[in-house]
Amino acid sequence: MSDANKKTETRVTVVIDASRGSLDTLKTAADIAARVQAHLMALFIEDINLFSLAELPFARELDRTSGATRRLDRHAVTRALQADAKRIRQLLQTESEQRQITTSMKVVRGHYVSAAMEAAEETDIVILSHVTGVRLRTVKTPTRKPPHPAIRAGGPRPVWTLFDGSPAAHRALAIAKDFSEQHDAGLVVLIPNEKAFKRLVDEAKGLLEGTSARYQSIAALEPREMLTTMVAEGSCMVFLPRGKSSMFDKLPVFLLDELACPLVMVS
Amino acid sequence: MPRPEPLTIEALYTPCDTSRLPFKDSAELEEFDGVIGQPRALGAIHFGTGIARDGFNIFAMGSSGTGRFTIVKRILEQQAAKRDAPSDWCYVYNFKRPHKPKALRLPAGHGVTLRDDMEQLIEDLGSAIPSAFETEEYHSRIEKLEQELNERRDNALNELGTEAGEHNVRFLHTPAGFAFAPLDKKGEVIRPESFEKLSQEEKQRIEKIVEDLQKRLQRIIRQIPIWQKETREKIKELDREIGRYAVDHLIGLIKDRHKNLPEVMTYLDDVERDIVEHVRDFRGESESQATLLGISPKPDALNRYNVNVIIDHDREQAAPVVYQDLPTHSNMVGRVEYRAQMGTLVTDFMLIKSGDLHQANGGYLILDAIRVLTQPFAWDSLKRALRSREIRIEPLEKALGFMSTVSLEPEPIPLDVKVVLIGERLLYYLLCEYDPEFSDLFKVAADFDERMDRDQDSDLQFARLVGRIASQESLLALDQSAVARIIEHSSRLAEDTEKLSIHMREIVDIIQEADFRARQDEQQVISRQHVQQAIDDKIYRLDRIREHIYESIRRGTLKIDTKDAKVGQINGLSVIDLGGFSFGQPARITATTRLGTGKVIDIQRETELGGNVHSKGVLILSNYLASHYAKGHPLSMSASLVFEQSYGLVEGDSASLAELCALLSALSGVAIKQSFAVTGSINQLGEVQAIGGVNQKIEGFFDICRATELTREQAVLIPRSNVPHLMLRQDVVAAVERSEFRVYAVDNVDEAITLLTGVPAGARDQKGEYPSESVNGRVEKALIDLAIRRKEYAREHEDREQQ
Repeated sequence: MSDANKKTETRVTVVIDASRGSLDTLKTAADIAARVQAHLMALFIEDINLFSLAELPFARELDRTSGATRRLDRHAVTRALQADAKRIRQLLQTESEQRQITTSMKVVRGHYVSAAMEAAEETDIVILSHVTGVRLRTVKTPTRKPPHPAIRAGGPRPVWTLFDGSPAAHRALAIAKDFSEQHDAGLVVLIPNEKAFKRLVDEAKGLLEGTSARYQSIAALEPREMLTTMVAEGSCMVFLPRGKSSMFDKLPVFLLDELACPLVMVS
Repeated sequence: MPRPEPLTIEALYTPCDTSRLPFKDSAELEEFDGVIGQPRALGAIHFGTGIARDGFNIFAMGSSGTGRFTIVKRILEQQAAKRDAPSDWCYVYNFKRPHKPKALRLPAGHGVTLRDDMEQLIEDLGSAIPSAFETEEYHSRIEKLEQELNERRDNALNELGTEAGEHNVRFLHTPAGFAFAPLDKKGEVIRPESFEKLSQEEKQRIEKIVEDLQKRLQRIIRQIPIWQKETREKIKELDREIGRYAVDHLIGLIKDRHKNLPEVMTYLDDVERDIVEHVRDFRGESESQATLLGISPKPDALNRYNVNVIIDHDREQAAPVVYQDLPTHSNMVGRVEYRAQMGTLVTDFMLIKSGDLHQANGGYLILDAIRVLTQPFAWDSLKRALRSREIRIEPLEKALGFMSTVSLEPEPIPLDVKVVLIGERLLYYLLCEYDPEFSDLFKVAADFDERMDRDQDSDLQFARLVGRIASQESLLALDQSAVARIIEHSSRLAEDTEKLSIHMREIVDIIQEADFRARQDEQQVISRQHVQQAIDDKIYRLDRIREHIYESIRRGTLKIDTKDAKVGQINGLSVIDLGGFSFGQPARITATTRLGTGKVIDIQRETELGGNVHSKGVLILSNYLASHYAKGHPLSMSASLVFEQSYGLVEGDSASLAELCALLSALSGVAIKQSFAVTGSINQLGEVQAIGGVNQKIEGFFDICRATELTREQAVLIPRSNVPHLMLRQDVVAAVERSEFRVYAVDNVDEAITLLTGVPAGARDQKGEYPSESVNGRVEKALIDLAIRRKEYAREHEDREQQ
């Protein structure tokens, strides 16, 4: 692993924590970094809440598989997080060698979302891991609908991207196109502006250069509607352009808890 | 007693009467389609093949070369042609007990049909099943089931999450699981110091809430695998439903084709059930298998739907006739083969191979008895199969515990076969004696004769047979004289002018060689001279030893006198067998006598160079002496007999006449003419009995005489009962015709000794006494003298003892 701190170099950051430690996400991030010739940084978040909990006298942990309970203390949490970090570091090393990319790793203690948002300020592409396994949702999951006729039965779930015509949206669309082609997955382009729908679709089509995609209008940049649409059909990756609007910033926080796939924010 | 006259040339050789052969050459003859000279064997085979009872298998016995195999095969093929082709047999996968493949019986030709049907079915299902599972309906039903599971899980978790939120508790992911953490007023996990400041009641309340949430989450986590299992079952049932839909129609077509075969229908039902149960195998979704160098450690799962047709009688119209040249255990009962895979041996029902019993089932199996008996466990396996009337494939290595690899136990197949063993007579008698099961399993003995009667009809039949051989073997036709010579040679082989040898191998060999000679001479037909040349050449190729022996005699190394007369010395005749050729060899026999106690010492016996039969002959002659000449006094003689310059085993009693004559000469002092040679056995009454190899013996002495000097005095004495066996060489007959050589036939010892000595044997007169100058008179006198001397000697001995 080597540091590449040149300011001109594209940077990809994948944000991982104990619940979002999917190694597949890390591999996906390495793949994207290799495609855009970027430096890959793994940002491992040690959830500060876990340390606070571990100090409490009644702190207990339920095993993910068996449901068995065991005492949770600060040392146990530290050891487990260190083991996770070591595992991620090893994988990063492997990916670095295989894909000929520069990589680095940073361990931060804090809250996942705030740390992720902070990292997004300093990087070109941020990949947020989804929660794996059992999740306790804060919102009701929308009812899943049958797949869209354009989606091949039994095939991979589609790749989603949001296109508002901004430069970040252009870059997000390009990466999403690449990704969907690589995984033989359909591409769904969400257009957040009803009035400019046709113009944006034409613009996106021009960028996609013949790659087929489905274009879908959403009334406004309403997170719930967007989530409902994506959860209903399923998704294998979501690419979002990162804009100056505060609405854009709200999106990932909301989606992260609900989506069953990684979320890529492109600046 | 009149002196016997020499035999006429008519008695020495019985030529074939060519008037019995009304053809120019054998090509004109109607081809002989039957079997000659084997009515007994033919009757037995027809009986054995006709009777459909257990144990009536056939043992065809006789010498090799008598046409046993050809005849048996021809008759069996004729019988088989009257029967329908038997069932086909297949081995298929046993879905309940995979290590015991099931045997399926199908009408002839249906085995291949079923196999092809199944191959086509699997190929069709390879596309039909994936198609059925790629439909939108299927995917939407799967989605629905997964959604039900997710909703079930999410609802439980959401409810818990909502309740946790209501109690101001957060759900946290830990590195190995989950935890519930109480929050402070700012919505952060409460700090330990803040928690400490809470009242005891508040602490207990929070702890209780967290504990309750943990318990409920625990229950949900433990419930999730159960829900997942339920969902998997539902998906599996859905898969079955879709699979059944895809399979029903295709397998229905096969069932229609085999609807009259209940066993096949049952099998197809099993196949249908199994396919539906393992429908994922057709979707390429089975468990991923690790491979090494592209080799999967497990066989292709779809192989189990294949059909192994081990017996196929497609397009056959008759029952099978099978001959196995190498009747090993596995060649007979079949075997289970193995395939080396990743360092170990594996097998499946497709590697079951049929044996000869399978191939011959419903028909006939011909086996060489000696080969069956000499192959390890082959005889036991054959008997077991015949006894149990089923073919059980049991690998020998497994039965003997040589191999511990997992093997198969194929379902035994019912056996209905007629086995014909071909072997020597001795083998048949030994098996009858020593194998108690043999007589139960091989109840029909087909005894092949080596000879047949020689008469007018048989000569013509034989000629037709010769014609057939020439035709079958693509040989030149034989003219009348050649056929006649073949018949004469056959009679010579039979050692009987009234018989013909039906040892066909020998006949065929001669005809083939004669054909070769005729073609060398650029002739269109085989004539007598070619046959004679073939016979002579064959002898020449084999008679190196005879030449050496005769040369030794001619040069005096082996002492044989053919002129003059000697006391106590006679020319005996023996036969040396060199496999395909035998010849006569004269042997000097000498006898000496002295005072003794009546014991005749057989030196061959004493030196263990004499066989039992030879010793018996010597004992007979000593008893003849005692009973004939010493009825009223003790036989006070000791004698010794020896085959001079004989270094091998002497067996047989054909020299007993010669030995007796030598003894009589020694006792009487009358010399024996060395121009004579003698053969024949005697009984206690002095009668001369037939012996074997009479032709070779006469020819042997003739050859020696001719090699030294034919004096016109030389002759051979043979038993009169051997006269019908005379088929002498033409040169011997010619010499007799020119009075250069003679053959005498005698009935008793007296005739023989008269001829040999030129002195009458003598007959007892009314007083019971022999003429004093006769041989018998001299012998009797010599024996009486010896008895007197013995008595005197005994008295002198007693006197000396008394003194």
